[in-house]
Amino acid sequence: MKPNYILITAITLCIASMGFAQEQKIWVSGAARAVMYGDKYNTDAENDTTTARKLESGHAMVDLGTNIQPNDNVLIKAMVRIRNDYGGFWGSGVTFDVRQLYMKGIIGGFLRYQLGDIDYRMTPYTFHNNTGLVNQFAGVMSSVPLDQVRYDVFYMDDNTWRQQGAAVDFALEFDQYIKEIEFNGFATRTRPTNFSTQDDRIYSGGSVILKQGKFNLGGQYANLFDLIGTSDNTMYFRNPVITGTAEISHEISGIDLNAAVETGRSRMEWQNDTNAPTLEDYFYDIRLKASSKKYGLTAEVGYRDVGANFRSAGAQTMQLNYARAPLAYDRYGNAQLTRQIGLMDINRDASLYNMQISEQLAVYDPRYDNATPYGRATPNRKGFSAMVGYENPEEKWKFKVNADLLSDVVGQGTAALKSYGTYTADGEVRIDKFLGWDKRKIQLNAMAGMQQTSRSGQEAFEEVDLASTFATFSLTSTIHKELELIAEYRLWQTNGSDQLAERNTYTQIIDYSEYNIDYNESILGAGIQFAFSDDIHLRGMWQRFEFQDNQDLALPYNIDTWTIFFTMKF
Amino acid sequence: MKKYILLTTAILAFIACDRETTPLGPELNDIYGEFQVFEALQSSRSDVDFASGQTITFTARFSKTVDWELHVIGQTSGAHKLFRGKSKVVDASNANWNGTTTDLPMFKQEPCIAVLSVPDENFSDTLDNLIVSETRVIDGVVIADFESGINPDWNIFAQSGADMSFNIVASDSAPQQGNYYDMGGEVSWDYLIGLIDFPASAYGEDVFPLSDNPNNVFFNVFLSKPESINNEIILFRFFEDENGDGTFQEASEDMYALELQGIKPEWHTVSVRYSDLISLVNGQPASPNGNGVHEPHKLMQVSVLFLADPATGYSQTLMDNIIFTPNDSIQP
Repeated sequence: MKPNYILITAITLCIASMGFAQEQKIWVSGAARAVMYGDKYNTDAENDTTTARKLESGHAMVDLGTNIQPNDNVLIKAMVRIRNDYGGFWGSGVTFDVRQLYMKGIIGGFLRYQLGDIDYRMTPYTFHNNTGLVNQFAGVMSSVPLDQVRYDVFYMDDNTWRQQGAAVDFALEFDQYIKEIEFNGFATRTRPTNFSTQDDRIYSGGSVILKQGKFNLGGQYANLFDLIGTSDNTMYFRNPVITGTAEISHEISGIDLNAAVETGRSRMEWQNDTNAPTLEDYFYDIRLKASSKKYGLTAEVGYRDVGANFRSAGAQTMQLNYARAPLAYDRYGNAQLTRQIGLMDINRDASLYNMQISEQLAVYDPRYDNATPYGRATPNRKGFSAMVGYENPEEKWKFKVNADLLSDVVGQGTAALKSYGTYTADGEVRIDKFLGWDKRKIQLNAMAGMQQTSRSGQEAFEEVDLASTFATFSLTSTIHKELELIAEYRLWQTNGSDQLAERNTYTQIIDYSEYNIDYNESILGAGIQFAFSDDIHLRGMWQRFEFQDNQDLALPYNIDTWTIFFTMKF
Repeated sequence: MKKYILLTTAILAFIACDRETTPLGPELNDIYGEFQVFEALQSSRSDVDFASGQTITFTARFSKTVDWELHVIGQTSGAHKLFRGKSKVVDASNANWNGTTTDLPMFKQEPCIAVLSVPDENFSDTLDNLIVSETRVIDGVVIADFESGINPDWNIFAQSGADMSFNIVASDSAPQQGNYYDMGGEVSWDYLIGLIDFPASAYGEDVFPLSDNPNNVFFNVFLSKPESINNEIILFRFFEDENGDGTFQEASEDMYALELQGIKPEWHTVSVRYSDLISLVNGQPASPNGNGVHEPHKLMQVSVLFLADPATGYSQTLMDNIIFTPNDSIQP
């Protein structure tokens, strides 16, 4: 196989170089990185004499994308990934994968299409890739590997899910009353048939957005379903979701006001399965927002109610798959126990992340979000949310405070409802700007938050009380020109108890498991980074990850990690 | 303005939708709550006549959903009826007794006790004032229940072997009423230890009054044996008078058979659908000699042969309540 890789790569590069000579009709884009981790495992536990004290890992990798544009209306992109894990040599550790492939263009000057890989999203209740709470506040050092993980699993800042299929969109413009109406549609396959017991599973839908300038109306539809006839299976899964959106914008005395609402219904059923329920429910989400560019202030309040049986696979699939074990030190201690996922793994282990939407309400980890594990569309939640933000017009400092005050819509095993409070505050201070420095940068970022789950009732067994507190502090400071010092301290701790719902394959609660925890973990680190350009960075970092279970249910340990991280986009 | 009103109306319509407010999942009280008995075990009557169609409904109510067992035990026969459930309430839906038994013997006219227990909570409650005044009547054609002695028109043959017992035994432990038939002995020269023929003529009939649909006719018999015996062979034979001449022609009429070995020590029921009976020659399946059609309405005789390998010594089997039931196997 090795000669084929070389041949294909050579042809690709040859075509690419030819392209440069032909007025940019063919060009190359992509990314490259080289990563080396040196992990040193430390523990005071007497019953851990076998875990390897030192591990080295890493890889060098290049994503080579060939863009072919035969005319103004067609673009073909094919990207291959060549990756060489450290430890392999003479090609034995090299993998060669097709990373993405799509064709897109415009038909008739108005109909845009894309075939192959597509990145798609709609609204937070229909099709949306939610960034979990634990990843919303990564610091300057945690973000380095996390950004690479997100790149590897195709998580974009606009919350799209990478799918394989087709998408089309077009718009009609009007002279009066309505500015335009946008039409969008997509169809993807989330699971192939096995030709006997499992149908092709298709995810498709679309939206119609009517834009009137200050007033917009939208309709969205998404459906995850089994395609009848693609196997011998006689039971068919269906999960249609239909929502409507409306948004009104208005300006009063320099204050931009915006009111938005989304409401809709879902249905989840397993046709011809006599044991299966049909789950139907609705939601609504109302938000009012006011912002002043002049003063840099933004405020938002909202209320939402998401029914207990609201199911939307495209909006409720979590990014993290907590059922998986981390790749690094997956087993530890003399008993070779499975190591719990920690912040270190979440930051740098791409294997923990889902790349396909699922019809299940997956198991979540209450440490990292017990209130809205499935994003804004988490079922059985209602309550208020509020946000206040400020950005200094001179970009000297900014802050944002969020509060989510939610509760169950329907009790779990009791009429008493759980309350969920999530509070976060994050801010940034540019000391260099306060000091009037132009060529040196000193930036401090800080965030802190807490999440509280509680329930009281007439009986003692109804009471739950689980609290997480978390914080991140980051420093970025210029040492010399493009050379910067970076440092970060990150803390996450959870203690208390809850009763976690166990669900069957029909996503219904069938039991509860007692959850008791008292733990904390932290990451402390410092390093330097050099920017060759905006898209090319070299970083050297040291981090200490500490994990402490105060109930002694898991072994205490810490991992010192040296990292060399070269990243490049082109 | 109209569109705002329309939008607001639509939102309010959604908000106003009613939701199911029943808590999700199993009740926490059922998992973690304290166990209490809100209503003690009671029965709907203390004296029951099952023959007239009466039943007894047991009731009780707990504070939480539990796995419970209700045992009804015959004080004379030792008959045992078991109800099991996982619920908060014991009632007619899960504990209505029509006189049937779970484990043989069948209930007799006797006093009974009912014991309700919740093993996980170490709880039990007993009712000891129940009387079965009449046992239930089982619909069917009784071939022999041995309660009225030996019918003189039966043909009984027993070898003159050692320790022979080919007789009716009266016992409170009989699976049905007070008698069963004991077949036992050691015959060192032949497989056959003894046999009984039950001709329809013994009941004043040319053929047994059975349905002509073999799928709706079930042959049932209660059997047991001493625990030390393991060589018993019981062979039931079913003779059809296909031409209606009042005799069985072995060369031209069907004889079906049911051979049983490995009988369990405790009393139990063996039930076979008539259409599942096969023809046997020397214990091996063979084509019947007649028309090959199962015709229970032409059955003129049932025979039971008690056999054992002569080299294996003494053998014994106990038998009771040979009966054909319509549509289903016997519910003792």
